[in-house]
Amino acid sequence: MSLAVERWFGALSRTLGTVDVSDRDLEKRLDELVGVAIQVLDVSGAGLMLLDPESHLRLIGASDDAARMLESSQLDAGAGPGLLSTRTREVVAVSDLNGDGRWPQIASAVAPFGIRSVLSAPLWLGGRPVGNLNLFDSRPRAWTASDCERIGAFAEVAGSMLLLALRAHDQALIAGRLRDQLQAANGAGC
Amino acid sequence: MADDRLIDDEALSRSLSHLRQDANERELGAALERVIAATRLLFSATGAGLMMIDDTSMLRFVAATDETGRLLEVRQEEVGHGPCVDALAFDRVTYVTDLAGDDRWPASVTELSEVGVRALLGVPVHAEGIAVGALNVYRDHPTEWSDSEVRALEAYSTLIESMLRSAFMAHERGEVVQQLQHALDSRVVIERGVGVLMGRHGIDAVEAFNRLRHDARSSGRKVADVAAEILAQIPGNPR
Repeated sequence: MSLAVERWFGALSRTLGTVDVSDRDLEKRLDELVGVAIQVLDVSGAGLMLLDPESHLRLIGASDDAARMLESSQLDAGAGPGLLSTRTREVVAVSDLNGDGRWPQIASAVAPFGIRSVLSAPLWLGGRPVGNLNLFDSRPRAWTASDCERIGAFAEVAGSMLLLALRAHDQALIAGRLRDQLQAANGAGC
Repeated sequence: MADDRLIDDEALSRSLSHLRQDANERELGAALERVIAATRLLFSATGAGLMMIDDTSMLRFVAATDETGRLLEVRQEEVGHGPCVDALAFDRVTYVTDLAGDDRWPASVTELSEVGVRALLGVPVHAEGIAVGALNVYRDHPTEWSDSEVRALEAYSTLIESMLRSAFMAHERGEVVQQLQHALDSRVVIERGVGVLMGRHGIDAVEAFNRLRHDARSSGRKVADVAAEILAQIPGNPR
């Protein structure tokens, strides 16, 4: 490619090179989501898991160390209320981890962090369960039908928000890819 | 309500048109619809609604969970005054313990206490730090709103802000994607045009490109368009 053409395209791709492809925005949105969940649903803490491209659940957001332990202990055990909610596509309520008996490994892992009760709901994206939202309380709590409805409604809103954030993220990735192509083409010459 | 859709698409479209929304509008509309529908359940409210400013900075009805909620917003839109308008105008939470007899608002708004709007809470919704809308919940009985309820609704409104931001970012980036794609497409055409001119006139690439550009400038066209025209004139060219 001639120098004149190169300069022409070089200037163009510099002008268009305004999109931040690393995109911290998606992370920020997910962090906010956990914080809002605590306030709106009136619980001690909350955590969020999402499926990765290999269909493994991953810890995405956590309100504090206790929430992080609740999520990672479930991932270590390969079971737990959050994982169960994603699989069954239903809200899972644990009023007292100590007396529940289903997940002794998780109960003992989170006990030092003061987690007693857990409420988990599947997170939906485009009609598919793609993760789960886990709320916890530091005391035993008999979750009511209303609590279950509310976490379900919140999880739906969270899914909508996630969808929009992902759209923005996707556009950044596509723009980055196109810009790389343009720069590669300019660099290669011809 | 005529149908059970919570979002007034036309109103949303009008409200967001000045922000150059289009591609993401439907997705944003569906998301806001879900937010408003869930608000009723999450805040033990009788109804909820969302208003946003349009391109003339007027607060417009965007969504409501029910006919009463819609009326509440439309009345405020008509008189340009009311609890939700205040939430936006003063960028702060507006509390109404009992709309009946609350003489801060116009009669057309307070008379809605007779159809079930008694307590009301309005919080501003921001875009890039500026109040651009108001989210409100109402109850059919007088309520002293607690601090935790107010904080929760304020926190919830940040989800709407987040959705707006994502939609705008997706839109802006979508435009960049289009420009980049166009740049890539025209690059191919220009390269081929340069190649044709080099072969035809026995000149080098710089000279060929300068000819293309000269032709483009003198005829007020784009370089890629001139190149495409040259390619189109070649017999048997698939383009």
